[in-house]
Amino acid sequence: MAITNILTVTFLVALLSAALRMSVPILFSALGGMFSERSGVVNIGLEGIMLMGALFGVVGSYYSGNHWVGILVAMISGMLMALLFAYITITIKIDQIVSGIAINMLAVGLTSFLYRALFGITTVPIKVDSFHPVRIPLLADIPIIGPIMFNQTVLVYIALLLVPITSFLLFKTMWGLKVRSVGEHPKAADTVGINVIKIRYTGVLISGALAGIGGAFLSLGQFNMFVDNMVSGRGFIAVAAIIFGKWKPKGILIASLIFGVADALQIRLQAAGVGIPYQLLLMLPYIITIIALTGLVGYNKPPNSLGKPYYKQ
Amino acid sequence: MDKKLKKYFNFMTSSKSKNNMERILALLVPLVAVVLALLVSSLLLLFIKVSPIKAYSYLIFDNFTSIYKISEVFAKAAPIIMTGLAFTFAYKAGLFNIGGEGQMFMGAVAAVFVGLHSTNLNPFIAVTLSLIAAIIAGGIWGAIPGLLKAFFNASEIITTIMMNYIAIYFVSLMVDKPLREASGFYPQTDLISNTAFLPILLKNTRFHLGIIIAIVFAIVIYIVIKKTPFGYKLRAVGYNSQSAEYAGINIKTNMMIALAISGALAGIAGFTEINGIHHRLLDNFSSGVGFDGIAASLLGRGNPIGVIISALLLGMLKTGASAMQRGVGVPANVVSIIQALIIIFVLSGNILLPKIELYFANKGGRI
Repeated sequence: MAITNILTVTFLVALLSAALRMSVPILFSALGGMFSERSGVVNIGLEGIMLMGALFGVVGSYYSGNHWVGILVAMISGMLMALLFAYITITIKIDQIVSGIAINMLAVGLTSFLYRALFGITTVPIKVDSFHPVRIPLLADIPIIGPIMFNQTVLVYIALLLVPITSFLLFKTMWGLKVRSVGEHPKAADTVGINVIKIRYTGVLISGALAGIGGAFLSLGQFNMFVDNMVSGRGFIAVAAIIFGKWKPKGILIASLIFGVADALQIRLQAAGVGIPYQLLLMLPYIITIIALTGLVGYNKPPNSLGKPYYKQ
Repeated sequence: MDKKLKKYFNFMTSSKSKNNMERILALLVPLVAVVLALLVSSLLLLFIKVSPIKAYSYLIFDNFTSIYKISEVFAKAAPIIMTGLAFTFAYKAGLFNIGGEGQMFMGAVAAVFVGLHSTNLNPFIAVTLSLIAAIIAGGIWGAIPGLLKAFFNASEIITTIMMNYIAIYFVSLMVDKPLREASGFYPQTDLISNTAFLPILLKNTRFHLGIIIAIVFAIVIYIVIKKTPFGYKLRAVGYNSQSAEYAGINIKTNMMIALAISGALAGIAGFTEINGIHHRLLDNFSSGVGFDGIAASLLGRGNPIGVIISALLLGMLKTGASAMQRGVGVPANVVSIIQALIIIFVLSGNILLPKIELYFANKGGRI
């Protein structure tokens, strides 16, 4: 297949529409992770939390027959996992990176154990009620942009709406100011009467809730099933997207979209049979993540107290 | 104060016996952690209506029912020792190498490549060349995040994780195309030449020389970290990079070297797996060993000798898990839950230790 055949409008529309869809799980998790990081807690457990969300989205949807219940259950499972993470990092003060690794390991084991415990060993993945694209009248009729942006599942619209919402929360509210000051200088924040521990717990719990939804989007909005380890690095990519996006919602949106494009491109090129080994294409999102982290796009400064436990005197 | 109490008091406060106390607690923490992890996991077993006692008796005691099974524990532990050392080494320099998995995969590709081309070589040379190739490949895979960290300040945590995925797809590419077996049937390589096989040390088992090699490396790394100026520098950077720089240590070089050596150690895990166990490269061979290494390192509290012991424990859990799956039908992945819980409990224990010691000291003081 020649490269000129790929660069058609139909191909590009399909590509960008898929890219937007694929960036959504990363966007959810990264926006959540942003609150955690802004309050001073690195959450590389996002990967594991997403995995929990992916499983419990299916579980909730399976038993209730409604995908919204699935999302709710996924969110709760994500928050529970995040609560454990918050407890061991903020209260017990175990190193955040190591805790994150432990959370991921726990999630890998727990999800594949629970899946088998609940549904038995099946060869055919179980079917659940999942999300379908919702076509927004009029807007979807706009050429090119319409089919890309306005023929998506509801969760895609919610994710996009979250960008201004989180931006408002973080930069325009008193609570956002508190979160940011705790991440920059917890001691000073403590002195003016801000409850550092409470703010950090809240930040981590938000990251758990959103990463749970992000994971459920994978299983309910994209693959329509749960597979062991199905998050396959998207949680880590979300952490990279936070860094790449400079800890700001708009930056995170752009970063997520770039990873989404890499992911979609990989699938499309594979399907188009361009003669490049598919494994090289599968590497693409990970390579882009590494490039993004080299800071070639400008110097990124993390919150000052990121990764450091807080000891009240 | 009577004599007995006085003695106790001295035991608690004198620096020598305090050291002993620390040592006892240092051993106690991992033990308690393992027991707690098993207890918590037994809730899951109850959830699927399996008796934890029955399950755990398979998990633990089945390992000691034959020489073969005991050897399997060692065979499983060998690569975990290497990835454990890899994590430990970087950790000493204040770096997180979470890329042990990928570095092991790359080491395996290199070892297989040599193994496939060593038909006419003397076994000693074939095995040594395989080992060196694995060291170089793993070393390069570890050095890349090191370079990115030194020059671009890219978090080695994320880059090493990303390199894992790239390595996994690289292996998949290798067995799919250039190194695919001659018959072309499965996506795997041909068997390596038997000149490159690691010799089996116990007849009819898989107790191969790689296990000894891993233990030797653990001892070497122990000496390097604890007794050499290089090890001192490394720890200085890990302990406080700013004062280390002030003392004239080049942090960037140190970081790169540390990650390269760390990667090389993980690469050796690929070598022991290929030349000792699988004798060919296949998709997803020994997957998860990189992460088991992290668990072994944390459980061994960053001591290479501790890593050996922890790797043996994890090896035992792994072989026991398959026995448990056969015996009572518990999915073997329960072990990764147990493993994660062990990490959480060990680290909580480490952090609570000073408080426990303080509690004992105060108790002694009040008497």
